[in-house]
Amino acid sequence: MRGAILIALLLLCAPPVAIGDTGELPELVQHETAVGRFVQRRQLPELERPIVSRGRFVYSAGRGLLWLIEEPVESRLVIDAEGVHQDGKPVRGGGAFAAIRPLFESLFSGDLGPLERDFSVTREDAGERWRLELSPRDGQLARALDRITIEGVDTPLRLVIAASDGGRTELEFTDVTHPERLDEALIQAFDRAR
Amino acid sequence: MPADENLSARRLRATLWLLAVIAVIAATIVAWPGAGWLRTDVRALLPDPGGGARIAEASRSLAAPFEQRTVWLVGASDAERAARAGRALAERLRATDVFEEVEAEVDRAAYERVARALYPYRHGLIAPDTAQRLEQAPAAFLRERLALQYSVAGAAGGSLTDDPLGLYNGFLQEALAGPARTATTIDSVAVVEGRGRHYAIVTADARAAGFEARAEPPLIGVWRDTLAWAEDESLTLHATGAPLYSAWAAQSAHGEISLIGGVSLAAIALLLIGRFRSPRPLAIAVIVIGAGVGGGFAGAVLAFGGMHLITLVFGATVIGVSVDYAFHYFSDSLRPGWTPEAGLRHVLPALRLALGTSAIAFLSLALAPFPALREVAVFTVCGLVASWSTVVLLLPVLVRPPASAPAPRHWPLRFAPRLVFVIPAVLVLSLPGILLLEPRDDIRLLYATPERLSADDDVIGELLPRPDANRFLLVRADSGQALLERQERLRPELERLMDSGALDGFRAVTDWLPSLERQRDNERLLRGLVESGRFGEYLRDLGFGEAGIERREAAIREPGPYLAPATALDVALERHRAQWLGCNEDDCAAAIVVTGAGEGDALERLAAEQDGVRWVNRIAAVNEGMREHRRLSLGLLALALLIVSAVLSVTLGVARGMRVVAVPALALVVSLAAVGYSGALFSVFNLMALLLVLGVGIDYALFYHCAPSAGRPTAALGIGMAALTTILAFGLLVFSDTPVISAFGMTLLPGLTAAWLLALVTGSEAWRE
Repeated sequence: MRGAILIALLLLCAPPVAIGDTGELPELVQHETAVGRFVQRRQLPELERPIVSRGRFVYSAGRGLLWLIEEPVESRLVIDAEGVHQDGKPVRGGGAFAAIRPLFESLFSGDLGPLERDFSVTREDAGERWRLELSPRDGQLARALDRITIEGVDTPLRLVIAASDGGRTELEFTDVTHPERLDEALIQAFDRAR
Repeated sequence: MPADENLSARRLRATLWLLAVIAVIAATIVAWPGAGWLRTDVRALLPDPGGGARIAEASRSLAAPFEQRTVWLVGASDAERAARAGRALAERLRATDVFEEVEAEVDRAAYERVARALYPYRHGLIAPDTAQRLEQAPAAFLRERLALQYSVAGAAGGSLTDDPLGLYNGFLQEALAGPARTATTIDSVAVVEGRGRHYAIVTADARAAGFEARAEPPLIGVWRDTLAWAEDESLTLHATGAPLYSAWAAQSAHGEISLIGGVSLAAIALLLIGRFRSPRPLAIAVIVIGAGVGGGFAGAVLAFGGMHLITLVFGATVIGVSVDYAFHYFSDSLRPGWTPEAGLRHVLPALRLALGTSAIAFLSLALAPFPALREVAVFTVCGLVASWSTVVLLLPVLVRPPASAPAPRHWPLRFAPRLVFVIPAVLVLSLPGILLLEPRDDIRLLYATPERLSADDDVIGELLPRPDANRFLLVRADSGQALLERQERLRPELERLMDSGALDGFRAVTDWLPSLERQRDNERLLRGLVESGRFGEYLRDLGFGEAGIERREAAIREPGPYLAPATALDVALERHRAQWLGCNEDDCAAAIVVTGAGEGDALERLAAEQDGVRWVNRIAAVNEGMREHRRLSLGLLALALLIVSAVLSVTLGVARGMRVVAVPALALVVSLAAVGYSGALFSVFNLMALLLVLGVGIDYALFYHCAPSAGRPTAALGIGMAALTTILAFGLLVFSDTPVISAFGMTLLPGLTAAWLLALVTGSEAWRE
């Protein structure tokens, strides 16, 4: 009995502990899965035209995030607890690379906790649509990143990463659904990308 | 001789003693080295394992960044919790005042500094694996790079305009990789995964602490509190680092010095007050002990500029021996009609002999090239000389015949067995023990470490393989560039050993400073990409304009600039710089540190096949030295016994001489057997104890055999008191936590007891005749 009361108390206390002392963390609808299409446009001051790629993405709370790039080249990228792998090879990098894992983790899970450590988050609402502004907290990260903006209705629809060197990466998400279960083929695709 | 003249001669000697004491104190104060007088580092005990100054220098250089460092791994079920726990741990450690610097976050600023400084040299800087791929399959390589640029990882991973192929970024990733390649960064905290958990890495540099006479050094207190905190938070915590080991050794030594010193003093006090019925001899004994310990301390400071902790613990036992001389003098004062001069005349020959034999025994120890043995020898001999001088110079002024003490009675053993029966009995009983003796010549066994600390050290070694400052490849060449080229030629061999499992990993200077030749090769590879048009095509695919492409191609076609050692060293991370030992004229050297090489047999074979490459395993070399010295010392001991036999046969006659020698000889046998039976550590350090058994055994036997008939009762009393206190003082060492000190006690306790009992047996026999 005492054990049950203790567990109940812990459960009651848990949310404030998880959020920490900011207390005003905006909340998104949380999902176990997300599947959809993306278009990525990357613009750099020196480039004459943006680098554009398209494909599908798959998010699963247990497995991480899989990008299946279809155009202009075919490639698989997986972001999970073990890091970032592209076509079976680990990818390491400088710049804002360290922030991308928590960023995408939060983006599709709807839990902004991991993001909150690297960024200060503000939220604006306009009817159904919401908009998150992320500014890097850490000086090192700020040197690589100016700002990240996420817009959405229920789930995120658009993500803009503004880099300090004037580069800008825009991701648009369409046809987003939240299936109860992932296809076996998609689950296997996770493993192949790793 | 008129009494007045005697008195003034005594006063003159006492004044001489006082002046000598003042001189020694003054010299010690002048030579005082400050806070660093007490060494707790194991390496201070090691003899030079050979190989010359360069190897010792390399070892020092590699160890320097870690001298004050403690490493803490705090583990939780997931990486985020681990990172949070890492930050919390760092906060806790910072709040204590024992650390100078506590780091939970990866120092990205240092990495950025290196990245900026080396950028101008980027065309020559390509990671070896990448260079190989670029040479063998340039098209596939470019395809991969292109795919990356279309993914979100490419978008966030470094500047496309500054480093379009990501080659420089790849070089930095390799060059600046930490010891754990598998570490990930979560919220700026480095986290490793293993043993089913995620661990945050926190490093804390301890403030340089002198030896503080405290029951618990602050660092140990912090360690305990932090372990308790982790337990409360249900986190896993492992900690290691040289400062923790030193603090632990200091703590256990502090307890042992107090216990051993305290109990010996108490025993001496009881004996003296009990026997002489006056506090005066006790007060005098305290002066003699003070002179002994002070003299030893001063000797070690003057000769070595300080001492090792182990020396100090052994030094505490000087109390037990140094007071012996005073005992002989006190005992003699119990004779009827005693005067200070007659007393001195009586005991001086025996005292001279005693000091002479002990000094010779211990000084022969100092001949061994073992810093620890030397220090102990010098400490002991100086201590003995100081207390001996105190007895001879000062005591005639201080000692008065006690008024009420009972005169000693003649008490040789009435039922003593004859020596001819004792000898075979001792030999038969000792033989199995001697056969059980198992030498363990391992320097690592000398130190006591709490189980928790050594278990944690193993766990951390597994999760976070760290290069060992005592085991590395030393590469030498006659110029800096030749050295770098030699290291580069070694790389494929080392990679082959990694594939075969003989090696987990290695870090070489060439990771961050390729040779000029290699930089030119790398530049050629890039130029090849430019000439074949592939580079331009890649940039065009990404949307670069023609002007930008031309500018980049021109920069690659232009040779240089090349990264020179001086420039690289200027910005290198501390742990990297430590590997470069530089050039002495045309002798250039650098170390390649390795992880997971075990005892390094494979590396030793590899080094044997290569010019200018040497596998250094200092621990193994030291252990080999310990083995040699153990054998050598055992031989010397036997030789010493033979010489003593010869000398005593000449002076005392063969029969008496042999009877005297039988005492230390049998005592040595008993000592060895006791070590064998008890399973105590048997190494070169036990030989030191055996030398003491030899010296003291001869003393006891000689005092019996040389005492004139009138002086026998007081001689027996003096020997008895000396033996009891010495046995007590050394016997207590058995309970030491430090294996080497405990083994010292285990050798001395039975040896000295046997020497005393055997001296009684032969003494009684001699007197009956």
